[in-house]
Amino acid sequence: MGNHRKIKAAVLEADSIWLEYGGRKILQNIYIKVEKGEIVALLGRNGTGKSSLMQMIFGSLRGQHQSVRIDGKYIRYPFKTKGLICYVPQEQLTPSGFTVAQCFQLFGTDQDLALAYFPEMKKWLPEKSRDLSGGQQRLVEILMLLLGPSAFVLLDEPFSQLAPVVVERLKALIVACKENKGILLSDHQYEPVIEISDHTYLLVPVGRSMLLKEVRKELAIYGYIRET
Amino acid sequence: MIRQLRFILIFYRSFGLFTFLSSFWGWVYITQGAEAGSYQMLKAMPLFICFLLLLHLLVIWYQMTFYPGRILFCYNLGISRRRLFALTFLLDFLVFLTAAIVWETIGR
Repeated sequence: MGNHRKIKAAVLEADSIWLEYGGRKILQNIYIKVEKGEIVALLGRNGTGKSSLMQMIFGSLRGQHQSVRIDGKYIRYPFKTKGLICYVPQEQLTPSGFTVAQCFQLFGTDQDLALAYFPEMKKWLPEKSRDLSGGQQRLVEILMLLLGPSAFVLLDEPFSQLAPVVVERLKALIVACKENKGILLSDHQYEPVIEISDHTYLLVPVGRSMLLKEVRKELAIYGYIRET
Repeated sequence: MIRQLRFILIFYRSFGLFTFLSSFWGWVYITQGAEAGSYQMLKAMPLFICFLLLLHLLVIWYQMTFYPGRILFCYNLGISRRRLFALTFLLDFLVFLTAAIVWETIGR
């Protein structure tokens, strides 16, 4: 991972989260815990506040109240702590003008590991991000942050726009990365998500999180998937 | 800090030409009729800096509104909005100052 500093952090917790827009409650009763060495799934129907919650954990969105703690210590803006946390949002990240190689260098991405899983990426390295297809851009941005030195990674819809064969390889890479990271993962393609997750949280109206024990059964009970 | 500065340099290129030309137009407009190196020119400086600040607020607002991902890119590098604004403003001011000195020396 280059010479970028790695931070020693083992547990990320978020609670006392309260977010509302114009009196409409979005998040109000949340507890999320992500430990190093774990992949934690965050599922929920559209509009339940998954992305908002990730942004609040990251520190880019401030609600009426929030408490994000690293190893029990409250941190107001986690993203400002070098090497602590990174967030891959649903929207395109990279400003125009950056090549893939420049992005990897900026974030201290483990390029060798990226190429080991996605050898086709080698020819993208000198390309500007804007010249890649939507799916290629998405993959580059995920790898850029996932393979960086951050202790925690928040992935919002990482599997969207990606071909099934790429999703398979990305799943394997995420699992390989959890050894020295904590990963919070949210995607409507719930099958690959719960397949690789150690724990699953479901966001239910209005803005409550639930830690699921029997994942598929409870997802059906709470109406996230159809009962089979 | 080095990677943040490297990012700022590349990021600045995406709107630098616009802010540079606007700054230059603003400078020429605000100081028209003033002699090079005169007191009038010095007096125009606060107004020009206000113009530059407004220009940068506009650029950051534009980036945040139409390209929210770019701001998250900065956050992922540990750069806050305030720092992004300050660093791009400083860079733009330095670029402009260099160009203005050249302009005042040989251009007019």
